[in-house]
Amino acid sequence: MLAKERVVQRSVDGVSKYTSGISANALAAYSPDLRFAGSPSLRFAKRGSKKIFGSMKKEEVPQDLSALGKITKEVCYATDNSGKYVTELSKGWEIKITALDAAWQEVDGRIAAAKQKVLNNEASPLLFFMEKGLMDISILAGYTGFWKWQVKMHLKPDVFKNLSEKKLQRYAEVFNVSIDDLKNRSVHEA
Amino acid sequence: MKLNFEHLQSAHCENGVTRSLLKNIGIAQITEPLAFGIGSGLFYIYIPLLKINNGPVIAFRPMPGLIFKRTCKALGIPVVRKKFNSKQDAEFFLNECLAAGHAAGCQVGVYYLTYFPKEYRFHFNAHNLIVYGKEDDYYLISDPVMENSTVLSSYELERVRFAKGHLAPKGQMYYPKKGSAVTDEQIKKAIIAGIKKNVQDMLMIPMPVAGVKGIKYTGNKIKKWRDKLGLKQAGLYLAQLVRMQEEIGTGGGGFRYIYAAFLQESYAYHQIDDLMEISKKFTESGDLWRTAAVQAAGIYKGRIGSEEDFNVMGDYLLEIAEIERNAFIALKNIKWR
Repeated sequence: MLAKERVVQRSVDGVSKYTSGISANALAAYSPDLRFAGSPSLRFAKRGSKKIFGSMKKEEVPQDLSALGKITKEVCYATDNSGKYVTELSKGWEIKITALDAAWQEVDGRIAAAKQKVLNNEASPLLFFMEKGLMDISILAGYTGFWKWQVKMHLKPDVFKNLSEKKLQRYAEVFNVSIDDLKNRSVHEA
Repeated sequence: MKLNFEHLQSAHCENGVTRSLLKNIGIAQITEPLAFGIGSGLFYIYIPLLKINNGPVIAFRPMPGLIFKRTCKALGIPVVRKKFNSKQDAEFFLNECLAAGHAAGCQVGVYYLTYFPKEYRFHFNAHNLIVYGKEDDYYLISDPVMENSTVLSSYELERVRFAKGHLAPKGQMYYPKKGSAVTDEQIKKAIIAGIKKNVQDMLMIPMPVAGVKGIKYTGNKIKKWRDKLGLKQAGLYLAQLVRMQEEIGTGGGGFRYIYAAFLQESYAYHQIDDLMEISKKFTESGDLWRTAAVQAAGIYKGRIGSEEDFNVMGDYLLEIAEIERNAFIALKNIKWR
């Protein structure tokens, strides 16, 4: 007997199909306001019609529209009624969407912090552009052709001030901005 | 010029490229799960000290390129593979290939991949796609994770083939040579070889961070993350784990469902009941990976975050490690006929 079937048996109403494969603990963890409710799964079902939890049954493959889902659906593996594996297209899964959101919030935070450092003259504008391009020193070194230690130096405001046009041009090309923009930390929203 | 090529969508890019390229040279029996299983695609590793996108490096599959390499080797299909130092050489060689009638797989970076949504474009260099023709300045692209085929201008293709950073592709391209057909007997042997190699990778690598030991290791680490990293950073680490596990290309549950599908399909070649039973174990493991993802989401969304919640999260991974250890031991003990 499969693990998910155990969970299905525990559920009392039709909502079990949303929760199969996911333990009751995890349900409660995801939505703690349900932890003490009498019939958690029922209330859970009424929170919008959207399925929050995925599982491996074909008809239960999650369909929460993600950024990717607007462009293409992705293939998931799930079982049909006889237990045989088949493929099913998915528009996305809430859990993945929030994981991606969390990653982007982190990126935004890093860009804001970089901006502040540049304003405080603690770092050269390159730091801002590097964070905006989701790069780290080794990726930036790869694209510009500088050594990592050189990039590290160029991130210091005093060193950056004295960089030649030629070197600035290499950074400008990678970030797709003009040298003026590079110096003034303004970004073209191309 | 456009080669006669049928675009097929798959869950994972490398499986998809393998399956499509093989089908293109007349080997149609290899489905995505077969390509994945014969290529010993199931894996787990947590690489300490190294970081990607400011998070931990966790992989649910082996190094890029291995699945294609192993699958072709096991089926006795010769492979042409090339990396380049010069962009001109890379484009020239690709054009030559197309002119000679070979659709070619290319390793690319995702960051500049124009047809991907912006939200998915991180500096990730282990993506694979197939080039199957060129019209004017546009290359015809079959990207296995997309529903439809697409195009890239020669500049766009060059940029993704020469992406920089970890695992930089260096213009790497590859294709299988046309040869004789593959017999069922060969597939049978390839399945056994694939499973044996996978058992080795998951059970016998003498490092605490790889295979089922790696899952256990991560589970124990997670329990300490809250104290060590702080709630916010620990949440981001978990988000990274979930993305590696579920994002485009794993087919759900960190490839465990694809592997379960592979064992089911293997049954058609080897009538051994154990295969079907062990397949269920991997389904169970995939379910548990997804349950763990839900727990992780609770943490990175900030709804939960106590010490106890991290312990529960860690325990899920310990439980998964135990299920997979038993499953692989069962695979190891199968008496092949």
